[in-house]
Amino acid sequence: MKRKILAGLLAAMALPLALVGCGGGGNATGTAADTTKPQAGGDLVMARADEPTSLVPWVPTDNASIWTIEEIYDTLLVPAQDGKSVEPSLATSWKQSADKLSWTFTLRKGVTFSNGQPLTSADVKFSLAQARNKDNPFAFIDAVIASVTTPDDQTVVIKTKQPWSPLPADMALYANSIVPKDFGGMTEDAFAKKPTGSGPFAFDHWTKGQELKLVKNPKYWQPGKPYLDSVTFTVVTDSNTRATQLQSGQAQINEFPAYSSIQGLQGRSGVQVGKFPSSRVDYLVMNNAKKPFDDVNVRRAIAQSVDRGSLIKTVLFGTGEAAGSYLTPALWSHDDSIKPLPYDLNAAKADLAKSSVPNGFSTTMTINSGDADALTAAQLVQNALGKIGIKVQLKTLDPSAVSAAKHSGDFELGFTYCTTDIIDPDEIIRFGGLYSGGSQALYSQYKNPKLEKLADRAAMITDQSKRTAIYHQIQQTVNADQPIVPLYYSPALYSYSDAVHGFKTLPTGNYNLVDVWLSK
Amino acid sequence: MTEPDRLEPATAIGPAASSTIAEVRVAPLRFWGPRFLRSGGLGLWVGGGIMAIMVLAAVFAPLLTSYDPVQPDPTAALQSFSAAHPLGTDNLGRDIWARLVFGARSDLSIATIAVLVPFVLGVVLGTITGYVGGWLDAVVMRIADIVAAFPFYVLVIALVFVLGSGRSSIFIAISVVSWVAYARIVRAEALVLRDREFVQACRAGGIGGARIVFRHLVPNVITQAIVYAMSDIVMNIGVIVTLSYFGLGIVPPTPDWGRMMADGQQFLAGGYYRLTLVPAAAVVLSSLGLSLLGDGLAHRLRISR
Amino acid sequence: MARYLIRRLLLLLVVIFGVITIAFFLMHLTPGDPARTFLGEKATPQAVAALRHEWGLDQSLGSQYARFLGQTLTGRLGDSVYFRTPIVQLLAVRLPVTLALMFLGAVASVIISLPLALLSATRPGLPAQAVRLFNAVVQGMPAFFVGSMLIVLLGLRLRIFPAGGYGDNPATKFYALILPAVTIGLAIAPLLIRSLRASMVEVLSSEVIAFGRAKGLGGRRLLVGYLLRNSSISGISILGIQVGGLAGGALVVEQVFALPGMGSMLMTGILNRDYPVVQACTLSFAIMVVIVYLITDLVYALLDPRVRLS
Repeated sequence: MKRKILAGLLAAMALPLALVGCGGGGNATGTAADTTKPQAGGDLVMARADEPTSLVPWVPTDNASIWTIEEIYDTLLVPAQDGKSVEPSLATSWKQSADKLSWTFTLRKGVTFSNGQPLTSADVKFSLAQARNKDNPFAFIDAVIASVTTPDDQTVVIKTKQPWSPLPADMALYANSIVPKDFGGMTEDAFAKKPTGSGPFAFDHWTKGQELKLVKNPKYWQPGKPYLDSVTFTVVTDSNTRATQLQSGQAQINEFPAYSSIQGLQGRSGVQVGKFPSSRVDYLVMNNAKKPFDDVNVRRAIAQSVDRGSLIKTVLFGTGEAAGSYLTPALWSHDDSIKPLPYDLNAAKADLAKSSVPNGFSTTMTINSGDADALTAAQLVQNALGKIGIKVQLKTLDPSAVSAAKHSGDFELGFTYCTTDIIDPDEIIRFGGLYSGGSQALYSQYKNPKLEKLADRAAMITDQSKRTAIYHQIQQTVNADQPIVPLYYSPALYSYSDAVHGFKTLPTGNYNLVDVWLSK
Repeated sequence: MTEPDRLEPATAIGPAASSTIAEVRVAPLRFWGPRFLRSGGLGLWVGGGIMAIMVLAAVFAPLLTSYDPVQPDPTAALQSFSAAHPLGTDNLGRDIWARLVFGARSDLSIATIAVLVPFVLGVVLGTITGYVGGWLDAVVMRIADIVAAFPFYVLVIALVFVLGSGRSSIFIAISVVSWVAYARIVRAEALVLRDREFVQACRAGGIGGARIVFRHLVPNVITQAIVYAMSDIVMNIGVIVTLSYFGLGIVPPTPDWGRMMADGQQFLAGGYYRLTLVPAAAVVLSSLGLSLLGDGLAHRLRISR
Repeated sequence: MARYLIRRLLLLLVVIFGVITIAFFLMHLTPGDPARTFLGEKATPQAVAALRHEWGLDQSLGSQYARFLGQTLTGRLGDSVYFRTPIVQLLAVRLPVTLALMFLGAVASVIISLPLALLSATRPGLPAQAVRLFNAVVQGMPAFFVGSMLIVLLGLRLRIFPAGGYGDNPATKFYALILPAVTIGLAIAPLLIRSLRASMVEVLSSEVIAFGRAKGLGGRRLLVGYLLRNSSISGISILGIQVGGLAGGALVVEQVFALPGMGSMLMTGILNRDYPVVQACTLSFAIMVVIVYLITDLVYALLDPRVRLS
C-alpha cells in the first residue's frame, strides 16, 4: 500500500517537471508573417491596472477613463506625434481672428457618428457647453471661452475673453470630445451607458470590474482604419498577474510593466518593450511654507544631495533621464540650458551651513503606501539627506490620505509627478510653477507674483518664439529658487507582444489605437 | 454563538477512555521513537529548538552580519548568491541575510507582543462572562460577534488607515480584532468548569466571585489560550506580512519580512524569485517552529491534566 | 426550536447593526477627502467644496449618520461614487463571484482537510508527522504569496490555468476560480485539519468504538464512516466560524487573481473613500456571515441535542 502511494506521488511530481520543458516559449510568430504591411482584423486585449470610471468625456480625471474616451470620440484637433503641435482631426483648419479674441474652426466634411448620424457644428457647440460647465473637473481649461457660435454646419467660432494662444491645444483635450447634440435624444445617464462617438472604435459593452470592449467603427472617417476588429481593456490590479498574462498570451499589451522586468523582456522572444515619449516629470516636493524649507539655502542643499543618476538606476532601472527644468522636454519651450544641480555633498553641506539650520534638522517624508517605486526612491533620498545632517522619517499613507495631506499643506517632504493634458506649455508652466496654477505650485506653496504676470502675458501672444522666451524666463526663475527638485523625465512604458504593430502612444498618453494592427 | 466553538476538544468524553485504546490502532500523536519523546515532546523540542535559534539570531543579529540592513548601496543591487552575500542583495543593494536577521527582530517581537493584549483581554473577559453569564455575557459576546463578522483584513486595514502606519497602529489594529478568539475559547472552558464540583464547593464555602474567577477558573482555562496563542503568533506574522503587501506594514527602511516580500513582488515577473522566496522561507520556518511548539505544548498540557 | 431561532435572529440583527455602524465611523474617521479623490488633482478647491456640499459631507457626523441609517433601513444603498453606478447593480454582478469563490474555497478546504485529518488520526507515526509538517508550513504562508506563486507556476510556467481574470461563460468562470479557491482552501486548511483530527481522535478513543470492535464489527469502513459522521459536527461549526476568514481571504485573493468580486470592490471603495460602496459591502459581508452562522447553529442544533437545551 505504502509503495503504491509513493509511486503515485513520484509520478505526480514528474509530470509537472516534464511539462516545464514544454511551457517556456512565448507566442509563436510565424516567420512567414509579413510585418510591414498593416493587416486588417484581429482582437486586441490590453491589461490595465485600473478600472475606468466614466465614458462621458468631461466627467472623469483618471487615465483609464481618459485613454478609453480618446478611442471612442474625436476632438477638433489632436496632438502631433512629436508633441510639438496639434494636427487636424474633426477640424481641418483653424484661424485666430485679427483682434485675437476669437478662433474659427472649419469642420471636416462627411464625418458621422458611429450610428450614422452626421456630425455638425451643433454637436460641437453642445459638447463644448457641457465641458465648460464649471462643475466639471477640467472646466478650468475652457474657462477662457466666452461663447461658442455656429454660423453654419461646418464652422465653429469660439470667442475668448482675452487673446488666448493655447486654444487649439485646448481643443485637443479629451474633455472637449464631441458627442451628439442632446446626447442623441437620450438623457446623460442613458448616454453614459451607451456612449456614441465618431472615433475609430465604438462602444460594445462594459462589464464593470472586468472588461470594457470596443469594436471597430465601420463609419470612421479615416479610410481603411482602424485595422483592429475590437479592443478589450481588462482590469488586472496585480502587476505580476498582468506581466504573466502578457507572457502567456492572455493579453497582447501590458501597461506599466515593472521597471525591473524591462531588461528581461527585451531579451525574450515574443514580447517587446515600448518606451514612448511622455510628459511625465517626477519631483521631490518641499513644503516652502514650513520652516526650514522657506530658506533657499536649505532647498539648494537638499537639491544637491540627491543623486539622480543613482535614483534612475535603482528605481527606474535606467529608464529615464535626470531632470533640469520643471517643464517636460516633451513640450516646446522646454529650456534645455537648465541643468540639474550637480550631485555634490560638499556643496550641499556648505549651503546648509549658510542656512538658518546649519546643524541639520529632522523632518518627515510623506509617501504613497502602495507605490513601490516611491518607497525605493524615498529610502535613497532618506539615506542621502542623512549624510548632510538632515534626519528623515518616512511616513506612509494610502493614496487618498496623501492627496489630502498635499492639498492641505500638511506635509514636509514628498514626491509628486505631473503630466500635461494639452500640447501647450501653458498648463504645466502654471500647474508646476505658479501658486495659482491649481496645485499651489505642485504643493510647494511657492509664491512669485511676477511669474503669474509673465504666464498671463505669454498666453496672449501668438508668436511662438516670443512665448518661448517668456517661458524660458519663468523656468530659470523657478530653477534659481528651487521650490521643488525636479528628479527625472521618464518615458511611458508598455510591454506588448510581437504580434502588435504600430503601437505608439502620444506624449499626452493617448494610445492612438487607430494605427495599431495585429499580425497573425 | 455556538458553544463548542473551540479549536481543540477541551475534555475527553467519558472516563478513562484510554484504557480501551490498546485494541484499536489509534493514538493521539503517538509515534515511533524513544520513550521519553513519545509523550508528544518531539514537537516541543523541535519547535522549541527552531524558535530558540530564531530568537537568538534576532537578538544577536549584529554579531551575525557585518552589513547594515538599512544602508542602501545601489551599486550592489540585485546580486545573486555569492561568497560576499550568501543570500544575495535586494534592489537597493542591501544584504538579504542582514535584513533577514534584523527583520526577525521586528517581526517576531511585534507578532509576539501583539498577542499579549488580546490574550489578557480575551482571557479576562472570557472567564468573567463565562462564569457570570447574564446580560454581561450577552453584551460582550455580541461585541465579539460584531468584530468577527467583519471581513478580517477590512477592519485591520481600516484601522491602520485611521491610525496611520507604523508599529503602534499594527498593535492596536491586531488587538482590536484578535481578542475575540481568546474570549470565545476561554468562555467555552469557563462554561464547562462553572458547573464543576470544585467551583460549587467554592461558592458554597462563601468565596467571592472575583476570587473564584481569578484564583480558580483562570489557571484552568488558560492552557487552551496559551496553545491558541502559539498559532495566533503565526497568524500575526501573516497579518504583518499581508499589511506590508498593501503597503501598510512596518515603515521602511526598517527591515521586516513582510516588507521584503512586498518589495520582491515586483520582481517576480522578471524572474527574480529570490527576493520574495527568502523572507517567505523565514516566515514559513517561524510558522513551522511555532506550530510544532504549540502542538507540543497542547499535548504536554493535556496530559498533565 | 422556533423560539431559539427567533432569539438567535434578533441577536444577529444586532450584530449587523453593529458592523455597519463601525464601518460608517471608521470610514469617516479615515483621513482623505472623497470629493478630492473623485475630482482629481487638477480640480479647483471650489469644485471640491461644492461636491462636498452636494454629498452632505459638510454636515455634522451625527446628522450624516442619521441619514445613512435612514437610507440603509429603507434599502436605498445609493450609487457608487467611484464606479458611478447604482450599487445594487454592482452587487448583482460581484456578489455571485465572491459567493462562488467562498463556496469553492470551502469545498477546496474540505477536500484538502478531510483526507489529511483522517490520515493523521488513523495512522500515527510518519503520516501523522507529515500532516503536521504540512499544517505548520501552510499556516505560515500568506494568501497573496501562495496566490502569486500559483499564478507563476501553474499559470505561466505550466499554462494549465489562466493567469487571473474571470471568464465569460460558466465553464471558463469555474475554471478561473479553481486556483483562487485552492489558495483560500489552503489558508483555512490548517485550522480545519487540526480540529477535525482532534475530534476524530476523541471519537476514536471513545468507548463506543471499542464496543463496536469488541462486538466484531469489521475494521476500516466502520471506522471511517463512524468517524466522518461524528466529526462532521464540529467540522461544520469550525467551517462556519471560518467563513469570516473566508470573506477576508477573498479580499486578498480577488486582488491577486483579478476577480471582479465584492472583495476587490470593497478595497477599491476604501482606497477611494467611496463611502456608499464601503457601507454596502460591509453590510453585505455582515449579512452573509450572519446567515452562515445561523445555518451553522441550525445544523448543529439539529444534530446535537445537547446544544439546543443551553
